Amino acid sequence: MTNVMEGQARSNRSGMDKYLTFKLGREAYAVGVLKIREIIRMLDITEVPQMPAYVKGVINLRGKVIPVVDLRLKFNLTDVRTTERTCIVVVQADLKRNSGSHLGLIVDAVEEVISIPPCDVAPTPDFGSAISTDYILGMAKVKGTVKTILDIDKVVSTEGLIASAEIDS
Amino acid sequence: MDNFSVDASQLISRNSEKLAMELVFAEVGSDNGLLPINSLLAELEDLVSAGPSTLPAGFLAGLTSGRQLVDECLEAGTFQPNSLAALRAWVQWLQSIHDAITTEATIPLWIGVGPLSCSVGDGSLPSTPPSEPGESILLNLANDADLLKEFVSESMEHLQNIEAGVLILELNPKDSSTLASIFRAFHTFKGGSGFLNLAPINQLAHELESLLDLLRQEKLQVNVEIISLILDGGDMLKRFITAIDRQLCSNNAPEPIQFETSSLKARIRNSMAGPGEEEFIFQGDGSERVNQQVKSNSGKALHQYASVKVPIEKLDSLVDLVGEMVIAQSLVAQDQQLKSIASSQLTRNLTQLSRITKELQKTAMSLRMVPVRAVFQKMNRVVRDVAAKTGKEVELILSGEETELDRTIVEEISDPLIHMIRNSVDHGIELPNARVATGKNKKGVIHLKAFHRGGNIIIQILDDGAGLCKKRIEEKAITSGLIKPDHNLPDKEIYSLIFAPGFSTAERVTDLSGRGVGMDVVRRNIDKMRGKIEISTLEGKGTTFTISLPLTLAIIDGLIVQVGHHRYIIPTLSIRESFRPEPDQIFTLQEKGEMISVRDQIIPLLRLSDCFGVTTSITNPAEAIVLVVESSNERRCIMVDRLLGKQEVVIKSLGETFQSNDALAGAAILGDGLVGLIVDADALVHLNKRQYAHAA
Repeated sequence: MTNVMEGQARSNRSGMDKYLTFKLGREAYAVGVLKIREIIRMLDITEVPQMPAYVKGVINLRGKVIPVVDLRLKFNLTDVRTTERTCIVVVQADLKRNSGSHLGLIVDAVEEVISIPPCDVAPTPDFGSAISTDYILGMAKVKGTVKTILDIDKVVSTEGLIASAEIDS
Repeated sequence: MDNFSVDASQLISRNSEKLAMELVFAEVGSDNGLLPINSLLAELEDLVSAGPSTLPAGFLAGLTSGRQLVDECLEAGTFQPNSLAALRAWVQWLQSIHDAITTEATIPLWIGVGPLSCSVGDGSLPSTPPSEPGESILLNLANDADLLKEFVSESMEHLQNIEAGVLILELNPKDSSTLASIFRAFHTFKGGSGFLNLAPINQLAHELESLLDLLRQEKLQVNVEIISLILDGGDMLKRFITAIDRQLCSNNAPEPIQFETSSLKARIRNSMAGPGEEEFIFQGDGSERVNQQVKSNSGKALHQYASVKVPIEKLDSLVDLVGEMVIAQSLVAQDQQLKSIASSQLTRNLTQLSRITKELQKTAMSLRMVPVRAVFQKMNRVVRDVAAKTGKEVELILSGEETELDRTIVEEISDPLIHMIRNSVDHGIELPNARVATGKNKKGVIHLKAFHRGGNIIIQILDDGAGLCKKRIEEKAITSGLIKPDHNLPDKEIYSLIFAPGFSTAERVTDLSGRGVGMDVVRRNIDKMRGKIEISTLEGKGTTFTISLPLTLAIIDGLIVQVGHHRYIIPTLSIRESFRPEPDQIFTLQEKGEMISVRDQIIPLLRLSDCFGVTTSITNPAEAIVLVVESSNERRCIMVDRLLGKQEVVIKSLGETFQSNDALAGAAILGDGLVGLIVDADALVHLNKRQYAHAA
C-alpha cells in the first residue's frame, strides 16, 4: 500500500516538472504537461464574429465545441503562416467561473516533453511596461537555450479575452 | 389463517430474516444498519396498508411496537441499549410468526421485553432523550452532505405527495388511503430529520404526524382548519428544506437555519386537543378498522415506476455523444468510396446502422423528458389559494398531465403558468353572484390541458369567465400611448396588447395581480423557451391561452445560411418568411438606413455581413436573400447571401469564452463535421435597435 502511495507521489512529482515545449516563430515556450489534453493536427476552424483577432474561432473536438486561440497572434508575432507542422494543442484551462474548460492553442510546432527541475527555472525578468509578464511562470534554461514557461490559465483567462475584445472594438 | 396471503407471509419471512441479519451487526451507540432496518420495516408497513385487511390483529399491534422501537433509535441517531435488546426480541417474534403461519397455528402475540413492553406511553422507558431540542439547525456539511442531499430530494417528493394528497382530502375527507400516505410522508420526514439531527423539522413533523394519526384513526374529522394546518405544515417544512438545499449548493460556511415553528405547533396541538391526550393503540380495534378501509391500491401509486436517479451531466453527455454518433453515421453512409462498392451486404448493414442510430437518438432524447404532472398539480394549490382570497368558487380540471416535456422546459414553464392561472382566477372568473346573474354555473371552471400538436407541445388554459374586454384594452392602450386612437388593428393584435410591459386593465391593484407585471414576464419567459403564446377570447364566455412549446431545448430546427465564406444557423422558429426582394421593394433613408416593404409593412433591413463584420461579394439586396425575423412584436429583415438548407441541430454551448457575444445563441456540429454558429435572432433585432439608438 505504502509502495503504491509512494509511487503515485513520485509520478505526481515527476509530472509536476514535466513540460511540453513548442515553437512560436523562433521562440520556444513550455506548458506543464498536466495541463495538456491532446495534440491534434490543424483543421478547419469556424470563425466567431466580433472577437479579438487572436481568438481564431471554434472547432469540433469529438462533439465538443471548443474555442481556439492563436498564440502567435496573442503574443503579437508577425509570422503566422500555417505549415505542415502547425498544430493545435488542446489544454485544460481553469478559467475563473468554469474550471476545466478545454481550449485549443495554435502553435508553430510541437517539440518534445522534457523535465525541467525547479532549480533550472529562473524568475521572469522585468521588462517594465513593454511586455506583460503576468502569464509567465518563469524562464527555463534547457540545454543552453531558454524556454518561457507559460501559465496557461492566465494566458487565456476570460477576463483577458473580454478586455481585449473591448479594446479592439 | 387460510386467508393470510402467501405473498404476505413470504414477505414477512424474508424481511424478518433480513432484519435479523442487520441486527447481528447492530451495535449500541452506532448507526450501522439503522437505515436498512427502517426501510425493511417500512416495507412491512406498506404490506399492511396495501394488502387485504386479513392480517391478524396480533401482527398489526406487534408491527406498531416494532416501529416505536426503531423510531426511538432513529430519534437518538444511534442504537440504544434497551431498544436494541427489545428489537432483537421483536425480530425473533416476527420470525415466529412465519412459523405460525406455515403450521397454521395461532399467531403469537408480541408481548415485549421487560418494562419496555409498556412502551413510551407510561414513560418508564429508560430515557434516551434526543439532544436538547434547539430551535435552529446548524448543518454539518462536512460529514452529512450526501445524506442531506438525499434527504432534501426525498423530502421534495414527500412534500409534493402531501400537497397532492391534501387536495384529494378536500374532495373526499374520509379517503383513508390518502390519509395514510400523508401520514407516511410526515413520518418519513420525522425519521429522516431525527437521524440527521434536524431538531425543529423533527419536532414539527412529529406534531403533524400525530395529527394525521388521529385523523387516520378517525378520532378527528378533517375540516378546513385541519387542511390549512397540513398545508401550512408542509409549507414550513418546505422552507426548511429549501434553506438546507441552498446551503448545500453554496460553498459558504453553514449558517443556522431558523424559522418560527412554535405557533404552528401550538395550533396543531390545539386541533388535537379535542379528543384528549395522545394515546397509543397497542391492540385495539381502531388500527385494524383503519386498515380494513385501506384500498388495495393505496401506497402503490407512489411507487408506480421503477426508476434510477442519474446526474443530469451524465445524461447531457450521453445526448451529446449520441448526436456525434448520428453525424459520424451520416458521414459513413454518404462516403463516396463506400458507395462505389456495390455490395448488398454492405448496404444492408449500413441501413441497419442508420436505423439503430435513429432509435438510439430518440431514446437518448426521451431520457430528458419528464411529464408535466408535477407542475400541473402545483396549480391546484394556486387556484385554491387565489379563489379563497378573492371569494370565488373555481374548479381546476387537469388533462394530459402525462404529456412529456424536456426537463428544463418543465422547470421554466412553472412560473409563467402560475401567473396565468392566477390571472384567470382573479380577472377571468367572475364572482359567484355575477356568474349566477349571467346564467352561468356558480362555480367557475378552468381547464389546464397539455397535448401534442405537430412537433410541438401545446399547453392550454381555458376559463369560462368574463373574457377579455376589447374596449377596455383599447382605452388603456390609447391612454398609455401604446396605440393611436385611429388605429385599425385586428382583434387578435388588440388582445395581444396585454403582453406589453406594464399593461394592466385591472381596476384595482390586489396582492394577487393587477400590477401590470406578469403577462409581459410570461411572454418573455415563453419567448426564452422558443415558444409562442396566443389568446382567443369571447366576451362573456371565457378566454383561452394557448402556449406552444418545442419538445426539447437541446435540438432546434435551423435554417443554414451563407454569408461570404461563413455559414450560420438561424432558428426556423423565429423566421416569418424568406424571399429575394425586388428592387422596388427596397428603400433607403438618408442613404444609410435600408428598409424593405413587405406587403405594405416597412421593415428595417439588417445585413448579417455588417453585423458580424464578414466580407461578402453580394452587396445588393436584390441579389441576396432576405429573412424576416420577429422578436417580441418587432420585425427585421436579415440579409444573407444564400440559403443552404434546413437541418435539425443539437445546440451546444459556446462556453464562457464567447459569452460576451450576445448575437450568438450557441453552436452546432453540421453534417460535414464542422462547427456552425447559431444566430440569436432576438438579440439581432435588439442589437439593431441599439445601433439605431447609438446613431441617433
